[in-house]
Amino acid sequence: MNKYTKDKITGLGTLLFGLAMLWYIIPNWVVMKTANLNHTSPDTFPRFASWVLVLLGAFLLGQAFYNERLQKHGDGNGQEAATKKDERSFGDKFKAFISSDTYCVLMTAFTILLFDFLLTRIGYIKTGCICSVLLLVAFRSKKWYHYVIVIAFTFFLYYLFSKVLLVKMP
Amino acid sequence: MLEILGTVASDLFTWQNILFMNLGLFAGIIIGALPGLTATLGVALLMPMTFGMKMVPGIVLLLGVYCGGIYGGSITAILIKTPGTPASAATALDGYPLAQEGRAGYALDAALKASTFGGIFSAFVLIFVAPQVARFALTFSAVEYFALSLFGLTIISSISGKNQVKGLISGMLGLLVSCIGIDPINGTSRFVFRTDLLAGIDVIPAMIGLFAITEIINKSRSVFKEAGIMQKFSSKGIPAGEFWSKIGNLLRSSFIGTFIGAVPGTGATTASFLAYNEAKRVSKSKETFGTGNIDGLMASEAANNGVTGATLIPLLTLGIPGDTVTAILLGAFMMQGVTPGPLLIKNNPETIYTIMCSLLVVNIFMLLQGKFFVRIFANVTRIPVALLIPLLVNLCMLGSYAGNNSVFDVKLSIIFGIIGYILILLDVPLTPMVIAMVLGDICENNLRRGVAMASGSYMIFFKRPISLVLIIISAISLLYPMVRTLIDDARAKKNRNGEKSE
Repeated sequence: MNKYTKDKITGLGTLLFGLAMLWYIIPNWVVMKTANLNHTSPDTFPRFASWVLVLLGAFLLGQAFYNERLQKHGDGNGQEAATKKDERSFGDKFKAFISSDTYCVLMTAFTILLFDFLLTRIGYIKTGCICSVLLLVAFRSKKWYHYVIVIAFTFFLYYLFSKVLLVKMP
Repeated sequence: MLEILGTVASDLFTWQNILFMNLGLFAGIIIGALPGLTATLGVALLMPMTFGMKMVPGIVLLLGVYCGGIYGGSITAILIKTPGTPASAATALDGYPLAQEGRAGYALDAALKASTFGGIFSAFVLIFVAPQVARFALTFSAVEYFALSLFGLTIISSISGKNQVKGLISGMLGLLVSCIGIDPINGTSRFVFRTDLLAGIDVIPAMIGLFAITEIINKSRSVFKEAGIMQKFSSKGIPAGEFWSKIGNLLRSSFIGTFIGAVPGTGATTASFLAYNEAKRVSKSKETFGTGNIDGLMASEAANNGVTGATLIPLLTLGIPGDTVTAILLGAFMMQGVTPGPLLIKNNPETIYTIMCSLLVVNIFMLLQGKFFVRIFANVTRIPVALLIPLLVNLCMLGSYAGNNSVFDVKLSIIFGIIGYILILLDVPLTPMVIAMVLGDICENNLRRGVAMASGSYMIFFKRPISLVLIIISAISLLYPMVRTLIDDARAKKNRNGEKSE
């Protein structure tokens, strides 16, 4: 994703979010009092922030389009690079995927979500052990002591938080 | 005075006091270093232990936890970009890049020494000029609080670098997040989509999400690249000459911390961000802030530990607790039969000076204990990423939960983590959002209180001298980086055109 695309997405997202705040979220989710003796109301500050978001979003969007146009003009009508067709087999593509950054990011995000899902259902110790081991498997860790360390760490945290710091564990 | 100090020294330097002081520091550093657990929680946890103890050992134990807890937050902020406490969020900005460069020992040592410096500075202020400072701090009304928080918010502009617009977007999102919950002025609900949000969004899970979870997801991209490769590592600390060359920065930051700490209801987080901003503002190498500038790290740490002594100023001299920690300490003092306030200074100066001097000694021991911890903790950067990520996921999830014993906070930290990751992909800086979340609440409440005080007029903010000065500085601080960026861009354009024509 190039800079201009990022700016366009950010600008458009901010603009739409600001408008949604002003026209839908604030009117529906900020409870007002009929008699307000404080000269400012509960929606003053959120409205101010939302208007600023709308303005900043519109500015960023406009700036991104303008700068992109300038850049294209400068680069000689913006010739686009021809996209290569990927001719690898499914197996090769899969192998490449499970060694890619995207795979690691997705596995980490999935494990974090799984942690939250399991925490109240099976408790901290089991959740901690399952998620830690799952991540090591996903990262293809071959060292046995890594598995021992993460499981021991889960038990250590449990002991520290529940017995020493008296936190009521799920 | 000297006679009193002699008596105090003999009361303070007993083996029991030294032992409990060090136990408190040890517990405080560990608690502070754990994400989600704050110095406040540490003091609250250990307070019941002091009920059966004599007055001085009990109080030095709690002061040890307090100072250690504030310092401990910097350890994880530097090593894994997970501020142990909100007060260390600014430390992560420059500490973490230094650790990534393999200079974890250097960053940790600098943070420790700066924390000690700030702590000792505020302890001296507490001992020598506490009553005067307390009287000045109490002249602050909602108007000055608003101006102060506004000044804090202008940091957004300076830390956003060339991404001014995106920094402001991030800041505005933070302001909106700070509005969630019950409106403190009218008592009505705002954005309460579910009952868990009635009390608003706690900064701790939000910060764990934005800093730690975002970083975990981001770091996972390098699992296969770094597998089996030991990161560059050095446990070498900051040389004495280099440390003392930063004396101006240390004094300024400690002063900011002490001043902010003396004003009830502000706190170490505000102080560290303000000091960071000032360090950047006066620095000749502004562009290196956020990429591993030691001045930024030291400013943040000197300021947040500068708060520790200063929060005791209104407590000991006037009997007013300025924040949650000092409110708990007030309870502990009263359990020991000590009622802080003007009468205590008059009738029982030995007691009050013992408490004040113990803070000085606590900071000296913090330096010694910290040296020991630095050597151990600096090794965290040598852990392979594939092993570090499962450990961090575990720690962050539990840290989010432990602050309020709330599973909802775990969900919150994940939501903030995902939002943070998306924002990073779009090059939107996250720090402005955290700053706005911390200061937005103070800013809005005091703005509305100030307007109510003036029967609806906003002119009150320009009529009071302290407020006016702070608003002028805020305007300069907000506009200067923007103007500077525009000038730099115009110059660069001019140079490019000049080169082309040649």
